Amino acid sequence: MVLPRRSCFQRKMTILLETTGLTKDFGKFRALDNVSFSIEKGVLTSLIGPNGAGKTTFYNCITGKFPPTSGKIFFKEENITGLPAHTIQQKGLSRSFQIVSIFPELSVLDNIKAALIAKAKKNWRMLSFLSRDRVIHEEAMNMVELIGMIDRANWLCHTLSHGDRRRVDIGIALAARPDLILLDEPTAGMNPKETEEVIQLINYLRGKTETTFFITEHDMEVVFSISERIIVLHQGKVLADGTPSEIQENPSVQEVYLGGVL
Amino acid sequence: MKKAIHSPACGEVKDSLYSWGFVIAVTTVAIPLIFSQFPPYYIKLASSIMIMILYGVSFNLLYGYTGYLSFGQAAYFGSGVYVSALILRSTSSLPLALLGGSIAPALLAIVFGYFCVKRSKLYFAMLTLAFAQLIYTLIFKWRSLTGGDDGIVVPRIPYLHNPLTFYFFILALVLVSVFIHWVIVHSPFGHMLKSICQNQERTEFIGVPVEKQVLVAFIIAGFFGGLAGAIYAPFIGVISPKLVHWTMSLTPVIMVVFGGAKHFWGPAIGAIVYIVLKDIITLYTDNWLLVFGLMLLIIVLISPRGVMGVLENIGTYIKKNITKANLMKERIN
Ligand SMILES: Nc1ncnc2c1ncn2[C@@H]1O[C@H](COP(=O)(O)OP(=O)(O)OP(=O)(O)O)[C@@H](O)[C@H]1O
Ligand SMILES: [Mg+2]
Repeated sequence: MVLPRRSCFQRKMTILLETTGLTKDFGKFRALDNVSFSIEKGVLTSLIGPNGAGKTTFYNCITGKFPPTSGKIFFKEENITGLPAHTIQQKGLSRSFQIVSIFPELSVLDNIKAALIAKAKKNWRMLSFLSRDRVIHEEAMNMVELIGMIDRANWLCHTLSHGDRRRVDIGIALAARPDLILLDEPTAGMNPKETEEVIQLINYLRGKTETTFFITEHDMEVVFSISERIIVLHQGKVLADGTPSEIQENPSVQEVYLGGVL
Repeated sequence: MKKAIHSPACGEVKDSLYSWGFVIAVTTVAIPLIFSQFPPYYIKLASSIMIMILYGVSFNLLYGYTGYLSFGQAAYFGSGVYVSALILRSTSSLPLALLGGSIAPALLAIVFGYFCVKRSKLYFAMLTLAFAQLIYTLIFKWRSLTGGDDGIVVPRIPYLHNPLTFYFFILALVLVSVFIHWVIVHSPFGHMLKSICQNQERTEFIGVPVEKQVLVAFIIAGFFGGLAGAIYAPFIGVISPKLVHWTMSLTPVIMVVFGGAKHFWGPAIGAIVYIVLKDIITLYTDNWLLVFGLMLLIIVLISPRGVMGVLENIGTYIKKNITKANLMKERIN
């Protein structure tokens, strides 16, 4: 009687993110329909689903781009529903966007520095030189090294290849050392070689940081190779939720989504 | 595949600390030495250039660095002028006038800015203009206080009677203020402004309250724009609502576009060219704004980054040719 209760308690402690009945309407269109699930600390979770399933909408609701129509979001057991994006970010929930979103006219290093300034809440310091801030500089260099861009630290980002810009993008999100990072299709628009590199990067970063990764991805091979847990979204609803092998065997998933692929 | 969306006006803003040596040498030694040979008119011209430099630089904190085009800076410059003039008339204390003439516009910027930064960049431009027109109308109609279109005669400041002394006073004020801008744009705060300029959404998602950040930049621009106006009042001696008119809001826009918004000294170059050209062209025609507009068009067509952009292009061209020549030499040897 005692044992299951205890394990239940322990399990609850490790839950990072939890949504209950999350619903989002765009006019009459219901993009998210009563989505309830939770993300556990340290478990690389993937969110998959066909185009228009509502994956990006889900991310947008969680990270405060817009509030959900109804339902609640808890992050580290705190209700964050409806909070503005910058507040949610400060609590340790970072994200990247489906389309690479960086500061194109700043150097790689300065892109990372921007994230670190924000994290350290130094964004109101106006009477000291940024270049004199050793702490920010060291941390930024570390991060640049982690994303494998140390040899191009001073390159302006708009001169980088798409794959490298995605590295910077992930670096910006990870620089704040968040508890949870949401990557929206990190391999979108990439050739197989670049895709492979990004997957390697994600695996590498998982080992090097405390951050939990939550990813959406179209490439099924990628999904099944790196995920520890997969959530399938279909027409705004959770269709299935489980380990990669459970998902592979799930008949309804095969029917609506995986089709003949597997 | 889509490119990351950002305004083309948001390139990295370039500058170097060495430029300060040059600026200080020219403004504290060369200009006074040369201009003291000529009638006082010219040193006064130099003084008004200095004031316009401060006005332009403060405007560019918003435009060049943050990417927000304000079409209503005259509200802050103009209220600086009037508050300063009124304080001088009742107390004849210049420090008090400068203080009031910059703090009052800053307070105004808090109120107006609060509404303006909540809008998209286009609405921001329109709303700043609308607020400036409000101030203009207020000053124009409030005859009992401002004298309406008759204006106000500002009492002279006895210890700044000599034009050269006044020049040095203005210079000190402007150099200190511009240096503060220099520090600001190189600070973590300034880094956030550049981030907002290049990618506002991303800046929000790294944990920055973007609206608040822009508002603070707006207040700083209002403060220093006001300060420029506050010193302009005793300098010019007679003030009128012309100084709050929308054409006065256009002035920093023209200066900055002309000089180059993407360089710290762009507004300064723009101010020099603007004041000098205005002085020359008005000798020949009343339509100096038209002539200036044409010249602006030509510069922008040649280089979207203004005069500083042209200079930079020439600089990189020369550098390229030098390295080329060096390479050739090495090959020959
Ligand atoms: N801001 C919006 N306004 C109106 N409709 C929207 C908005 N954002 C998304 N939608 C709609 O919601 C549905 C879900 O879109 P979403 O972008 O979340 O899908 P997705 O799963 O991320 O798809 P993809 O794999 O193509 O990225 C789509 O039908 C889309 O047209
Ligand atoms: Mg999407």
